[in-house]
Amino acid sequence: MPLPGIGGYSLLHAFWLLAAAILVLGLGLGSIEVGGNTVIVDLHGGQKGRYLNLLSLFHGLGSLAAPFYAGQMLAAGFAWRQVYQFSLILVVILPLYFLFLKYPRNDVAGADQMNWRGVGKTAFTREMIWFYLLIALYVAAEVGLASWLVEFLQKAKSQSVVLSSTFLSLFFGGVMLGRFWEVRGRAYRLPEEPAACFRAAILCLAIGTFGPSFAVFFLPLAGLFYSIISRRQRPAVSTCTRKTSAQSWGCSLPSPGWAG
Amino acid sequence: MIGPWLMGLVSDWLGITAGFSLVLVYFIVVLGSLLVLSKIQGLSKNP
Repeated sequence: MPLPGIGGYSLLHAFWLLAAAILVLGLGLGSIEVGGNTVIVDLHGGQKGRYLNLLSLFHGLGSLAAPFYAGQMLAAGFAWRQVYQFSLILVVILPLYFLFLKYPRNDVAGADQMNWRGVGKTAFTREMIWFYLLIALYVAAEVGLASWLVEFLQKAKSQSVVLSSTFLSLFFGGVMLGRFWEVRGRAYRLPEEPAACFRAAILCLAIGTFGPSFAVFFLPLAGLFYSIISRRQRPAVSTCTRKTSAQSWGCSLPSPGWAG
Repeated sequence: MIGPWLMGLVSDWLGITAGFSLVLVYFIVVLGSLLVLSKIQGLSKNP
């Protein structure tokens, strides 16, 4: 799905065809994310927090590299379509990797069947509904910031294409650093500490947004503090929904989808 | 879907700074739900 998605997006011209290509791409990436989370919970039940955070770390690494790559390409005079077309090389490698990947067997009898009753009991508790809101708004903030930061820095802070995309890379660099630090953590519940970090993220974002031009350096710092919740939310969801983890992952992940 | 779209809508109406500052609103709601969750989990841990 990522291959026709990015291929279509880089070649098609009509708005609705571009929207359809992005939809296909989103379905493919969503499947990879649900699959990746579920495999980690299956394989590393005892240390799932650490490995889920490691997955987030590599997500941050990709998010750090992508704006830097796109900014350099655009500054060098390439069209935005070519930015996507060059990335097709990596997208071709991805299905080849999945073809040769040995997927772990699930030995639990009936595990492949959808247990709707179990999902209903575990996926729609009061706690899980708050989780969905938290994850949805968390992703809305992350995707919204990623989508609009460059535009904001260029229009409101008069930055160049290269500098503004470098700031986006720095933001995700901060996110990645925070997640790297969190890989060492092992708590599965949500204590007070993430709330304190999130208050710091709010403060940094407010200063970076409304402060003078030199204060934009607070925006990447916001990314550092902002990443703290991620280490807790994923393991916590799988802990809350241990009995039907795969199905509940499938239920919990649409919330960031519609929000982001 | 809703996050960046709403930011674009507000940016068109009120300017880029207002649109971008919606991220702050999202952050604040996340913080609120985080505090509620901490309370719920604290209660379930120590009923």
